[in-house]
Amino acid sequence: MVSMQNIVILAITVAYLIVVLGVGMVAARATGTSREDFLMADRSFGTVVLLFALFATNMTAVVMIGAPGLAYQTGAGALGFFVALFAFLFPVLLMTFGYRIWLIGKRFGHITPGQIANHRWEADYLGVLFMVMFTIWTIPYILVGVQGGGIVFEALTEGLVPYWLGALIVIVVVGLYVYPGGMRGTGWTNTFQGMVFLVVLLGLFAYIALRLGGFGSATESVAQINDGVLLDRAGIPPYEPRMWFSQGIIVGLGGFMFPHLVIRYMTARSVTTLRQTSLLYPIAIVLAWVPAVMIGFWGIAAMPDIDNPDFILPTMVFEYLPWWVIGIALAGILAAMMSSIDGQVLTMSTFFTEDVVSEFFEGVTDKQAVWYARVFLVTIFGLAYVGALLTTDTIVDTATFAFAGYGMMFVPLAAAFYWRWSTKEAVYVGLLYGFIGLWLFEFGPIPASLTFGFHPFVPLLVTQFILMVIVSAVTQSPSEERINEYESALEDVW
Amino acid sequence: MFKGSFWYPQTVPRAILLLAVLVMIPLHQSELLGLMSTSTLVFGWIPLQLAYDVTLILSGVVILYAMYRMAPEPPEEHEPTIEGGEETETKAVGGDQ
Repeated sequence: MVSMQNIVILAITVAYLIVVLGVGMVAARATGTSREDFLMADRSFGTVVLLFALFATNMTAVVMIGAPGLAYQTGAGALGFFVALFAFLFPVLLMTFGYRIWLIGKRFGHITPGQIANHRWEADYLGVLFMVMFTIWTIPYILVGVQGGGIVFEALTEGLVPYWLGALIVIVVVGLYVYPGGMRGTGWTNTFQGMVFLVVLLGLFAYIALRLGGFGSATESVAQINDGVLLDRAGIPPYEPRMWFSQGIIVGLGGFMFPHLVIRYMTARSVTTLRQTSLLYPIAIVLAWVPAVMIGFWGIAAMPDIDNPDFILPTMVFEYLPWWVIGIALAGILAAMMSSIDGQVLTMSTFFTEDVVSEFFEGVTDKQAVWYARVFLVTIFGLAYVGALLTTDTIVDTATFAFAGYGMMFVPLAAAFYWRWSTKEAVYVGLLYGFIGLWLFEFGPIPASLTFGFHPFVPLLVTQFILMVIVSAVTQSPSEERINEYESALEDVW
Repeated sequence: MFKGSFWYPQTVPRAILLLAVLVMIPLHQSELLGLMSTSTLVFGWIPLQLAYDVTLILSGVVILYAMYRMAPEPPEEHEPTIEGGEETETKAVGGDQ
């Protein structure tokens, strides 16, 4: 029996999705058919659009579902553990490394990291290796977003929209605005959706606190559990100092290396835009993460019997919000998820056309390249949907593993911009070493005792760098002419 | 390539700025400040660990602002020439050095 409440919730959500589509359609009208315009929005993003393009794309299901879930499981350290160091390192890297990526992309017309790698080291297949690794680490992340959409739809409509249909709706809506609008479509909708989910999250934060008797009362209820054990880090395994340090470095470097962010550094209109975005970014992180973590934290006392911690935020929403507001909350949660999936999928299709189609198929026109990007887009959506129906992994676990994978690509890519004598052989070795090493630790052939209490990422990062130094020393650098081109382009650039 | 970058400072102010950035990494380790085991609530509702993490992030904005001001002025060719709405940025910032 369909209730009036469910119909209202659904109607509000559908209205929101139509507005998102409208924003995407307006962006599509402003998008031409050239490759540069469709894939890079003509490198024209200003501070606000770039901020939200980076922020909303980065604030995935991890912040709306994963962060409350982590706080529900482990307490008040969730923000510091996952995002505190990232909130500082990311803007620092954006002002320095990000500026160099933007500048080289603009100077040589590069769109993907793979193109930069092939050009910088005069290689033929290094770009494909970058593309393949980025794709491998991104696919599970796309699945998580689609999966999150399905879960939230089903939970907040009491099954009126089942999981499979919720996941399908998310994919179709994202596809409808990414397909015609390309990078500009995702940038504009990210700006809109980023604002929506921030406002919704802050509203949920205040309202749920009031329903729990006020901020002090809500926290006090948690403080009374086991003498306040969840107020601090002591005795909580992931919050041991070495693992705390590891997570900070993993998210700091891995978050910077998200492919959908790397490509967006190159969409900035100017270096001024990048710098202003860097200044605002940490504040946006605080605005999103504090409410998300506190809602999960308060849930420890308010809803103590939830089996899957990832469900704490939707459960709190359903329990404490008036039924007519649930549709708005659902729209806000979907905003966070869709604004990530769009960037990820568009980036993967861009990498495919640029690093595979344009590289290995001669005579491809701009129009054909855009068409290939769209075909690949549809294919990725199809795979993501099937995967979302099959996957059983939790959001934070998947995210951390993917962050570590991206993080292992940090030194190889940074070598292009900071390491004069680096060689393509060293980059091949560095990429493969990091990739294989992580999987070997994950599946057990390398014992965890070798990490000395750190996450495997840390020893792998150190040894990856040493290995790259050794291989660079015994192999041939690219031509002096090519090195000088980069050196001259990066002169007086942080 | 590395020399001249932010990570290889060649003046004292730049070295201090780099140091400030690097110090944020140990400061993230809140156990160094004795916060590993504390049940204090700030303003009666924010766990001290969370308050510290937020303060750390907001302190970082001050360092980022110093970077913003001290960064070398970008060459003219790096700034856009087309003027328009939000997507336009026309004015170079920084250049204290």
